[in-house]
Amino acid sequence: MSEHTQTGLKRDWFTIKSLVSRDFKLKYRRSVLGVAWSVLNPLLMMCVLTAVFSTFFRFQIEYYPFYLILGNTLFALAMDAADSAMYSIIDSESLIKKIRVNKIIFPIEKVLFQLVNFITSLIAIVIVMIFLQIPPTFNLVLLPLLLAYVTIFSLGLGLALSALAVFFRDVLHIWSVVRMAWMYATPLFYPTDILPEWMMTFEAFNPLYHFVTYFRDIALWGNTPGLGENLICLAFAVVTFAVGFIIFRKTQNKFILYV
Amino acid sequence: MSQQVITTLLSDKSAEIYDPAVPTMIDVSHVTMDFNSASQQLNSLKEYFIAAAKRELMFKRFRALDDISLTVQKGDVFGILGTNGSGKSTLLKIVSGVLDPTEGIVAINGNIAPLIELGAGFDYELTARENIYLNGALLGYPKPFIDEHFDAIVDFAEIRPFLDMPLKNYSSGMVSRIAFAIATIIVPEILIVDEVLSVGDFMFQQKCEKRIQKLIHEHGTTVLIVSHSSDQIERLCNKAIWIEKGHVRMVGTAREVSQAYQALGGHEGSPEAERKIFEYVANDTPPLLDISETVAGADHYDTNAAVVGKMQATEHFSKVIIAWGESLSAQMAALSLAGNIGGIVLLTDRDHLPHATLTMLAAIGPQQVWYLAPPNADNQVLSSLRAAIPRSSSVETIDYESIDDLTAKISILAGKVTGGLTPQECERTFAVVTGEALGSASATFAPLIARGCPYFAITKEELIGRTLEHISESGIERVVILGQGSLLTAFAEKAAGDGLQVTHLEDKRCDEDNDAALRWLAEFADAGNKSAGLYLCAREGVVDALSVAPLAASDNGLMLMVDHNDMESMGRAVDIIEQYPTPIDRITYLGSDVCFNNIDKMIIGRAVGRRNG
Repeated sequence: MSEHTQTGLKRDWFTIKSLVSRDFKLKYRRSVLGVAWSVLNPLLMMCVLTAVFSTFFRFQIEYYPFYLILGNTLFALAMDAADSAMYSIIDSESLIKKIRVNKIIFPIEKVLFQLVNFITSLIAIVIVMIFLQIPPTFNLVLLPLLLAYVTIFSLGLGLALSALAVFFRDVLHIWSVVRMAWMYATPLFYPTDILPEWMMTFEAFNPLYHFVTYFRDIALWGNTPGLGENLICLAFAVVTFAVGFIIFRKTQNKFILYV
Repeated sequence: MSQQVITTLLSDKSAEIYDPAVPTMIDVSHVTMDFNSASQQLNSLKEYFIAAAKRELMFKRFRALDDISLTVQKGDVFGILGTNGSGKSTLLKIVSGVLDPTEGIVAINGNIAPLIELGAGFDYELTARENIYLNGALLGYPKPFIDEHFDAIVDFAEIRPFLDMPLKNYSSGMVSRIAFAIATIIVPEILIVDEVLSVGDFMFQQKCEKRIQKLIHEHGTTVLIVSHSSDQIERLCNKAIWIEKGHVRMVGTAREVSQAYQALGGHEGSPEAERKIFEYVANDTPPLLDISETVAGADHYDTNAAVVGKMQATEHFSKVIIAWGESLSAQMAALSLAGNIGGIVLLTDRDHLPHATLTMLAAIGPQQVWYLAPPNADNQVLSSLRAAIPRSSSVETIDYESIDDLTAKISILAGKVTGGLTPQECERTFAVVTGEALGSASATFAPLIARGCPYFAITKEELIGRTLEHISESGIERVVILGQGSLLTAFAEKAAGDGLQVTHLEDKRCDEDNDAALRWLAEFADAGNKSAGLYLCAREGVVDALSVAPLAASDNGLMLMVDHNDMESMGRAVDIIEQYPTPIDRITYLGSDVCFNNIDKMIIGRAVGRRNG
């Protein structure tokens, strides 16, 4: 090997970093407010949803706007990550066909890019906390752990979707429906206590329910998630990742023939 | 309809070019690549299940490569030649690891820098600076390395003033410059080059080639290169392979493969014709370049003037005929007149007298000039014509409305000037007839016309009768019709009805037309048998054949029209040369390199060499 080229993880990591920085630059290029949109967007969404839901449903939730923004941003992180990962292979067609490159970097890059976006939108969450005078607790140190669960989970989902989408473009259409159903099935803007009994049983198997609740626990309610809750989240993340990774590995050599 | 492409193995010298002392860098062993062409359209579940139900999933198989083996050794510059769609790029993709072969093994010994389709991975919204880092990352360079070589890349690509401009505002040439600069900034052990040198302007191509040469000579980089240009392969490579539709056709030294490819690649024809030509390419008898000569002017006025100049060196012409250079039949008619009256033909444009013609007129200083004025000709031609010749000389203008009109007038004129007697009496017993266009056999007949054989053109139905009258008045017994069309068919029927012996050579293929023309000439005109000179005219260069015809006529030469892209035509020409009854001591090629390239000349030269023994 010549000394100028590198292989393995180090090389891939630099490639991923470069791609994330490309996506980041392109996202805000030529917008007046630029990165500020990452903060403004969740705030504005929160205002709209608060206006809508507190008028129509009158849920009795303390700090409703904060409840909303926590659920929405975390859900958006998981879904946007899976979503953009799903398109990553198809969109990288020209690269895959021309350069010998580790294909898994494309979904990973997209997931990490969404994570970066999420971290910027944390500013919005802080602003809401200050505005509503919600005192931060030490539980917030668990946030990186939660983000790790969500990222690994979304990556697994994204890997599976990206591989399947190469072979069946139907996946792209099915996924948008699934995503919407998932959004309504997860208590993002309604309280859990309005759910019927059977629905609560279902929520036990909804990873997003666990992640969102975890987030609200540490940021809003000041609860410390127990070991059991952590293990459940970890299990969801690891199993999803394993399944996605296996699907991806088994099919990636055939991508070039189908993209 | 294009013919079936020949894909059989011509010659495999891979054992001869293999040097056991040198390490192998790339070993492609029995690689087959199948694309499932059906699967490419199956992008939805429904289609998939329908196809699965019909059991069509694996059936529509397209074999891009079929059992290809290839060994590239350290320091080799290995060229891959082949026409479009022959599988060259697929092979490169397999070697560079982008594609996995269906069968077979590829072993690589060293790091590869693939230059396959430059600029893959560029984002046109980003600036050049950002793209250099992004592309570098995709090619596997660490950041410090890019930092270190950033200036070198920018300087090589010559884009410093535009570094912070989005790539979408760049020209495609600039983009490929950047891509090439990034890809070659490292010193790879194996460099893979896919037609990249065909992009960008001439200066850039040279620069790229220099860079590749530097990698080869200073760093001992092994190179695998794909190109359409056999010249480039011959210049850069030491070994080469020629693949066609996924099959190996030839492996050997770059020189022999590129020569064979130039002579045969992408040309139509039968395997027999190909074998024959290949035998001449692979053979190393001297190609007799010392007796070859190429006549090629800047344009056909120039070529014509050059030939006249050449003839004037040995013979003085006092009679000059000026004909319209844009009309082949007008030139042919002038040729016939010149042969009759012992003059020479010069060409003019419709609205001015070309410089080459003017110069030649001044050099000859003719006493008599006939100006065959084309319809709607500019008067300026006539005035500059008068100014160019001695005051005492006479100029007779012959106006004509159509080419039929002209040929009829000329036939009368020829009789008047020579008083009914012709220099070569035998050639007055037959006439050549064409339509507006001349068939491919006309080159073979051109020397005959230049010796004074009457010539008639038919472009209007109502003139068939008049032309036939002229023909019978002149005591002509035989008519050769060159070319096709309903007018000529009608003429052939009427002529046969009038008791003339008619031979109709339709414009088919160069080889058949040459054959038919030569047979006719051997039977009726007894021409060409005593010749020592061979004149070769390209299919696209009939006009030059007409210009050179007087020269060929003067030495009783053999003139052939060859379509060098058609192996049948080349093969037939080689046959005719080989079987020619007398030794050939001069070969004249009409037209530039576009008409006959070095390989064509080599093949013809070797055929002549074999004929002469």
